[in-house]
Amino acid sequence: MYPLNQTGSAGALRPGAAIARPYQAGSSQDFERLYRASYSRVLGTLIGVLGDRAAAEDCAQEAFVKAYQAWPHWRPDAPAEAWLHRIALNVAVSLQRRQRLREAGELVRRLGRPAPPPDPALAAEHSELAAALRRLPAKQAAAIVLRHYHGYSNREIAYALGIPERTVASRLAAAKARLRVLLGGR
Amino acid sequence: MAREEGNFDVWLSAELRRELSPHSLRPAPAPRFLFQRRRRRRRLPLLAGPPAALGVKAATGLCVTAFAVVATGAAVTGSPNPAVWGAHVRTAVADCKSALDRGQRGWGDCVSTVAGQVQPDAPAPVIEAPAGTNAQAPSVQATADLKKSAPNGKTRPVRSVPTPDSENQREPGRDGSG
Repeated sequence: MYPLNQTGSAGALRPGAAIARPYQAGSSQDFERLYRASYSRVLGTLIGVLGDRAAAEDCAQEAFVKAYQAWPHWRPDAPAEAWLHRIALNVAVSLQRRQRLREAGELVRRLGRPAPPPDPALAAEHSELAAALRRLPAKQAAAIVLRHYHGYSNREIAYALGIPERTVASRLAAAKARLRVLLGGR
Repeated sequence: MAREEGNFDVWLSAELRRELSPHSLRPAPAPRFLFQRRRRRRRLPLLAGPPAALGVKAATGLCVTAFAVVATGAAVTGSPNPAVWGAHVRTAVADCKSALDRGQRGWGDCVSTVAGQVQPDAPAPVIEAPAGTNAQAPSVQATADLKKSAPNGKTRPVRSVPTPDSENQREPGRDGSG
């Protein structure tokens, strides 16, 4: 696992990576630099959690708008990218909640009628893993993506999920166990 | 078991890279927060510019006009309630009618004089009358006084309010005693 640098990006301290200048809270130029450095990583997490690229892009942009508003209050001791992930995951959880409410409303509206067949184009786009991740709770799916795709440490994952660091390992174990079940005991 | 777990972790990482890396390779689009920041800046001059100043002036004018109307009505009648203003005018008209003999014309001038009273310090006879007395009597006297002092000289001679005493004084003459 790679240690966290002051910019909050684990990737920036990988062997051979240049040491980035630390961010300054409230600086618009630094926030634009943070956006360029972390947008694709935040987007990757959101695609893993939501399973829908368009929704993930929308969430990512909304998260950066919220983060920009809160940027003057960011503290340098908090890893910047994990801080962004935390905001983005909250936006994603809210979106999922709204989607579930909408789905429940549609279910009530079409009571007694057969459900429409799934869109074959969308079905082909989603792999077995993507479908399983989508069925996990948002924060469990995020923990999987942050650890196994971004290589985040327990501390970064704890900050991104807003949980104590000592509970990260148990959360990850629970998420993986559920994922294995969903993948058919792989 | 540990080996299985390790295999699963390796498989999971490889699958996630395969799924998510193509999305991550695309360049970041134009940031939305920049547009929001610019839009906010554009709003501020509108709030502080000439339209805002005109709006404030219009609102101030409306407030002053409304206050003037209420203050005038309240000064004349002694009450801020517009219903009282209407009652005041009705009372004045009734007084003007009763000040003349039945069938006699010309109470329009009397009403005009009452309607023209806009002096803030003008007494409000209807309101100021003590309770239990005829509130119309003082206003009739005031109307008669105003008519007497009219400067254009076009006013007709004003009869005083008939009282039982004056009626008694006239009666003997009408009987042919004078």
